[in-house]
Amino acid sequence: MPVRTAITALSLAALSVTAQISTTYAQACQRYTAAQVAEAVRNSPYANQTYRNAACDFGGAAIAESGGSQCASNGNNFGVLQLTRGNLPDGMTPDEYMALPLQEQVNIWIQNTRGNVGTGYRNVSNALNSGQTIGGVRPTAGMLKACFQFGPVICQNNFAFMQANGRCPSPGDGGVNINSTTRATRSTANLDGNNQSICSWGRAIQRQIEANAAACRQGQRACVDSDFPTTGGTTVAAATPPAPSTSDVLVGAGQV
Amino acid sequence: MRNQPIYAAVALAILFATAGTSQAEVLIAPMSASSIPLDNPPQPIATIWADDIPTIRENRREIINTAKQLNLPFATEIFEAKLQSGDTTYILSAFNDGCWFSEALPNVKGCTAKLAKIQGDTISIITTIPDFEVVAIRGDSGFEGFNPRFNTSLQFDTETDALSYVTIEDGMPSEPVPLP
Repeated sequence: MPVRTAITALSLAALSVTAQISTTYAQACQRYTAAQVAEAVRNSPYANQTYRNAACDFGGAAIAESGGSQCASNGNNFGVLQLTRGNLPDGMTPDEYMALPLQEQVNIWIQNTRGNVGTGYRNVSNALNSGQTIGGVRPTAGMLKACFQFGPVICQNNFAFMQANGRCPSPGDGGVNINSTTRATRSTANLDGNNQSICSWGRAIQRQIEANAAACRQGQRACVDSDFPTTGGTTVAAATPPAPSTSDVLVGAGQV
Repeated sequence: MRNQPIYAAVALAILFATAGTSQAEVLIAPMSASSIPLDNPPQPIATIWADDIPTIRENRREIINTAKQLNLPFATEIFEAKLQSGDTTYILSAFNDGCWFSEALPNVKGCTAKLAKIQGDTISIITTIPDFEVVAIRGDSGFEGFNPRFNTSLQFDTETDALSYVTIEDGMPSEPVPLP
C-alpha cells in the first residue's frame, strides 16, 4: 500500500474513531433540566409518594447538585442526583452509572436512597408540611432536600440547633464541620465538609426549585396534582405553596 | 478478591490485658464485605436474615431490571464479622440494602445490623441494630473486602463476656461501643 494511501486510510480510521468517541460522550453526558429530572422521578416505578410529591423539588436539587449533568462527579458522588459512591449497586461502576439514561439513573438513585429518610428529615418535613417554623427558622423544600443529601446526622443536628438557637449553624456561630470531628464527636457535626448547613445549601437548592418551578409544573399535570394534597378526590387549590427561600436567612442573636 | 470471605484470615486475637493469674483476651474480628448469591444465600446468613431476604431479593431484582444491559448478578453485598469464644460463635452482619448515606461521609453507611450467636446447631439473634455504622471503602465495582484503615470490627472480651464494636476511619479507632 502506497504511503499516501496508508496515511489517508489511517486518517479516515482516526476520524471514525474520533466520531465514535464523540458520539459516545454525547450520549453519556447529557445535561437535563429540572423539569426533565422531575419527570423521571414521577415516572419511576420505584418512587413512592414521598418521592413523587417532591419530584419538582428533586428536579431543583439536581440542578444545584450537578447542573443537571448526567456525568457530574466529585469523585465520591455521581450523576444528576449525585448518588454517593457507597450507594452504587453491587457490581456497578461509577462510569456505568453515569452512562445510564436519565430514567434508569433516577430509578437506581431512588432504589438506593430510600433509607435516607431519618429522624431529622422527618422533623424538617413535618415542620414544612405543617407550616411551622423550626425555632423561628422557616423550613423550605430546598432545606429538606439538603437534609436528604447530607444524611441523618447533619440533618438532625441542624434541626436541634435551630430549635435551640433560633437560627442556623454556620462557621463561627455554632457550626461544626463534619471533617473536623472524630467518631466520638461526630454526633455534634452540623456542617458538611464544605461548611454548608442544611440552611445554606438549602438556599442554593431552593433558588433552583423556584427558578424551575414554572417549567416543572407547566404541562405536568401529574406534578401539579401531586404537589397539592387532595381530600376525597377534590384538589385543594389553596394548598400551602413552597415557602419563600428568603425565610431561612441567618439572623444574628442581637437582631431577634 | 472482595467476594471471598476473608474474615478468618484477618481476624485477630489480641492479648489485651493480664490480671492476676487469669488472662483476659479481647477477640477482634473486622467486618469484611462480600457479595453473596441471593438465590441460595450461604448459612448461617440465610437463617439470620430469613425474614429480610425476600425484600432484599426484590430490591435487587429492581436494580437488575433497571439496568439490564449491565447483566448485574443476582447477588448483594453483606458486611460480616465472625468470632468464636469457647463453643459460641458470634456473627455481626449487615446487608448493603436500605442503608442511609451522607454525601459528607463517603465511607460510612448506616445499615440495619444483626448480632447473632451460634451454639451447636442453634442460631439465635441477640439483637437487631438499626442505623448501625458500617465503615468501608467502596472500590470501582463493589466494597473492598477489608481495609485496615477503614472498617468496623466486632470485639469480645473473654473475661467479661462483653461484646462491643469499634469503627476505624482513616486509621483512627473509635472507643468501643457496647453491644447488648
